[in-house]
Amino acid sequence: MDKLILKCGALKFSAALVAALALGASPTWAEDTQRIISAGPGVTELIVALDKAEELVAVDSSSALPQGSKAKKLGYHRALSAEGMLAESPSVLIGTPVTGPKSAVELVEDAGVRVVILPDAQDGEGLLSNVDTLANLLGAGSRGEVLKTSLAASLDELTNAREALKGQQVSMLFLLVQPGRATRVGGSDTAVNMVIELAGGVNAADFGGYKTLSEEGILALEPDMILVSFRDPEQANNPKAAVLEALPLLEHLPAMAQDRVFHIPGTALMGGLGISAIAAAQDLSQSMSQLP
Amino acid sequence: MSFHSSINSYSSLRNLGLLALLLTCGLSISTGPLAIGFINSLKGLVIGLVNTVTAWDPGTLAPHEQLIINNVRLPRTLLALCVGATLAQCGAVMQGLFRNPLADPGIIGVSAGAAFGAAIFIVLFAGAPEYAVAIGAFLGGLATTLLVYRVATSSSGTSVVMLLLAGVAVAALFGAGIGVLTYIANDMALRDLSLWQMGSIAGAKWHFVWLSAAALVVISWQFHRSAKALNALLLGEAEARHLGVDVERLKYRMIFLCALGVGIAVAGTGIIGFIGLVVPHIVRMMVGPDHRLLLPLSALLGAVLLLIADVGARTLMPPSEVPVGLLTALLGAPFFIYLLLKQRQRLF
Repeated sequence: MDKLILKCGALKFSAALVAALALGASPTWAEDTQRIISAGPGVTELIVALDKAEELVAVDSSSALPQGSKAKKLGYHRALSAEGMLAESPSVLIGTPVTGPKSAVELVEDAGVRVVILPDAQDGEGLLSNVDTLANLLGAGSRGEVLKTSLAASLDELTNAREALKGQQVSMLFLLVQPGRATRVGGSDTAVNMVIELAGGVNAADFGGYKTLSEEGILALEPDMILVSFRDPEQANNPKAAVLEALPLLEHLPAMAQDRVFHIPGTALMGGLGISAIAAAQDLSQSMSQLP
Repeated sequence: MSFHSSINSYSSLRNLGLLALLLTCGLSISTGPLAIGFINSLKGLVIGLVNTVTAWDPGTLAPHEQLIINNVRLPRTLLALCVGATLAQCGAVMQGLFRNPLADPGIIGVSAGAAFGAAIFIVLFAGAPEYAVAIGAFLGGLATTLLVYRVATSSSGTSVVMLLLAGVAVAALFGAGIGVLTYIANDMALRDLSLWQMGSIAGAKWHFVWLSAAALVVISWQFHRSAKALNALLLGEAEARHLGVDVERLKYRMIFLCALGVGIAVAGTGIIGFIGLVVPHIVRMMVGPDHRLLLPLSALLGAVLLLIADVGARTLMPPSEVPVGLLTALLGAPFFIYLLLKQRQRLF
């Protein structure tokens, strides 16, 4: 079966995570709870994975929260309001190097809130060290170790999968399909590029940033796979139909004819090496391994 | 309306305006996502002011509340006051100078140039400090005004029609320039650029407060001195000349004072539209076109409206902030449409 739209990688990953957490986590509820502000989707993701979602009092607007979370949305993570943050009486603000504006962060710090800036994870090591920092800071106990183990395992799996490709070049193109607007393609310094590289693929677009490309331009690049990301769940479940509806000419692309359309959830494209990016890369790697 | 009755209504309107200004300042000091309370906020303001002279802390407010009053609410209140008053007066002067009710302070290209200057720093010099963007905006605004002025000025003087057209053309040119920068910008710069263009008073810094206060004092004083000449200009350029007004010099001074005022305002807050367009019209409806009354009342109303908009900006979606430029546009655009409709009735 060469149907490539597979969800099982992510499911496998989450199942492994849940199982590992259930096995490994000794009940360490005794730590005092914090009032956390998280400014950055990657940071929030880690906090949620460390099972500290309930301690989040406010997050930036691109952070994804588990259902039922009462955390407030603070707005764009580089234009935070000092007063807005202080109004949630946080005990700690966890951000990234771009959390800002600086004046707001300084003011929050001056008001006695602990400010922790996590460096951007460039590689697995960086990500694991961020997990360590967070687990210590939030008193996550053994959950930190469990999360690290499962992340390291996923990264190892990806490394193995990349080596198994033995230099086979699978070119792919990420299309940002917007109804009624020209399609944009993700270049070499975008978040999607990292997912492609993790999975061992080659980005067919070699320019920086997102650039507009006509259908003709996409056809000319002849990618082996098409990657897309839709917000509408219906489109996400049937990405090929959604792409063809917007860009009918792509029917002539071998990748389309052979159903090689892969959907990446938006959370994996928030930038930085994080849990969803790794999960998406695993899914993608799985799909690639089934290429003829 | 005779001059005396308009003077009477002027002084009552002025007192009303001052009262409204005082109330909105109080509102601005006491409103925000952090619930401090009206009386406690005012106490905090007094404590903060006394503290700049001598150390005194009766412990009325928690330290973080005092910090918010001193470092967030007070500077943004003062900045909104100064910027609102500056934009409204510059709008009034530009409408008088161009004898065109649709003129706004940006008509001489200062806003478009400032946006382009800021965009250059945001996109091409990513990571440049915040003040670099502000300086870029200010220089861009000033340089553009100079360009527009040069285009419109010949040996026979400065043509108001040419100024208008050159302003529109240059705005279009810089709009295209911003388009190019938008195209090559990465996601982060794109977001910064769009936020900058929406305008905000949220991150008010003290040095901007002082700078815009100084600009407000200078332009208010200079505009006040030129109020009579601006009145004469309403009759037409030739008529003003016959009345002894040095029309060329007046145009030059007004244009560059506006570029200065608006340039500093835009540099500190980004683009805040419609205050400069709407406020002078509201005031003119109340006291007529006499610049001696129009200018101070516009300053008051501009300050009050921007303060109210800024209070809205922080209370509509707490704990996040809505860009204040969006609110002034939401307020101003319908009024702009109303003006157009009125204009149409007058024409046909």
